[in-house]
Amino acid sequence: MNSANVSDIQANILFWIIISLFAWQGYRRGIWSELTKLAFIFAGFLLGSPEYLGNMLVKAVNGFYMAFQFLLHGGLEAIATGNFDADALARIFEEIADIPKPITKDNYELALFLVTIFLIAIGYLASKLFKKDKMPGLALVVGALNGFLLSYIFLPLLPETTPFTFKDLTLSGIIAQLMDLAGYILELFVRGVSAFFEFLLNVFGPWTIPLLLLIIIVLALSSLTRSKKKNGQSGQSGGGSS
Amino acid sequence: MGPFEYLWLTVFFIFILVAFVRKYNKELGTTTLIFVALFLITYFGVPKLPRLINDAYQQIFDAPLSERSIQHIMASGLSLFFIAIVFASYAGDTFAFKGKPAKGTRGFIFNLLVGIVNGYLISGTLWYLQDYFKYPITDFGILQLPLTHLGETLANFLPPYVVPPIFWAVLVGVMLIFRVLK
Repeated sequence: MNSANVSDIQANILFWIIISLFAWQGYRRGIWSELTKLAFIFAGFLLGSPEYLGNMLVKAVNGFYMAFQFLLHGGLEAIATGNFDADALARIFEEIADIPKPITKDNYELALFLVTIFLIAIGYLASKLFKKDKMPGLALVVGALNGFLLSYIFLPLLPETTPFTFKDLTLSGIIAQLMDLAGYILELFVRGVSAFFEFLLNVFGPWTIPLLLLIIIVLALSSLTRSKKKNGQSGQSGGGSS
Repeated sequence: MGPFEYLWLTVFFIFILVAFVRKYNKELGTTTLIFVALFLITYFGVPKLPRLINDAYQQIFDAPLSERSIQHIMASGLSLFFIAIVFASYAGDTFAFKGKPAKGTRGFIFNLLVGIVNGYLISGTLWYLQDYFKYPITDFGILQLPLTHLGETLANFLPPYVVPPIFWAVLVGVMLIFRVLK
């Protein structure tokens, strides 16, 4: 069996597994939950695709960023005082012309990919707000549709050469291939994290790490829920001793 | 001894494991004290202490300290101070946050994130104290320079290099606000 056929078979199997999983999840979660997910996945798909709304989004983000820089570099003062002196405005435009835009040609694809991932994640979180309802059949169909859309977005991103083949099915061969697969996934993860970090550095510059620290701390602290009080005493978990 | 950064990466991973064992609500108490220590080190320790030490030494012995000696004293002294604060945050009555930590996948992610933060802050600060004071530890032959390419890249992202001193105080403030709210 040649590599291309194996790759096709694996892609097909993966496609149907994803659709089945999402259909099953839809059946369990209910129609409103699945419709919410569908709306966000679809929005993520449209905004993450350059041929649909992606280009417009990038132009809008860069435009708003430059407008913000204009205000920061004296534009706000000019508007507040009503002093629209041509020289002052020219100086401001000269200053902001050197400022790099947050989304450049180098990180264009990554930025759109992150937008898609972000909206899908938001959709997934928003879908948890709904309780299960009485239309499991319809929910199953919408769940499958979600799986189809996600496959349509993400399956083309998989590599053409498969990290796992069926050539050597001896124990040592399978172990060696599993090691290769683990290495491949690890490398993919490291590359993904590095690219994401580079993108953040490009957008936020030296404030990237302080902002990341602040966000992680606030998210972690917000997730702590109040302990229930028993017999008038605080039943704290953790506070006090190690 | 292997490349310099391996030791610090080991410390980093150990603190991630510690976060999984202790849970992130307790680890956040440690994080608070680390922020306090970092504020003291970066706002007062590193910029002001070398001159104070030199002046005091000159007053007592009527001779200036060599630059390398100051670097040794500063790196060792501040590292011990920092380790003592981290140790104190783990021992006895801790500064743990009240409330139940999230469970399941969310809990796993928060344990991981807070572990990464603590590992990064602790190993990064100890590395920074060596890097800023020109690696005095290498004089004892314990670790060797030069840094590898990876080491040099990582050294640019050590916490005190990338976070302004006053921001540590802001983070302490945020933690205290949440402590009152919870």
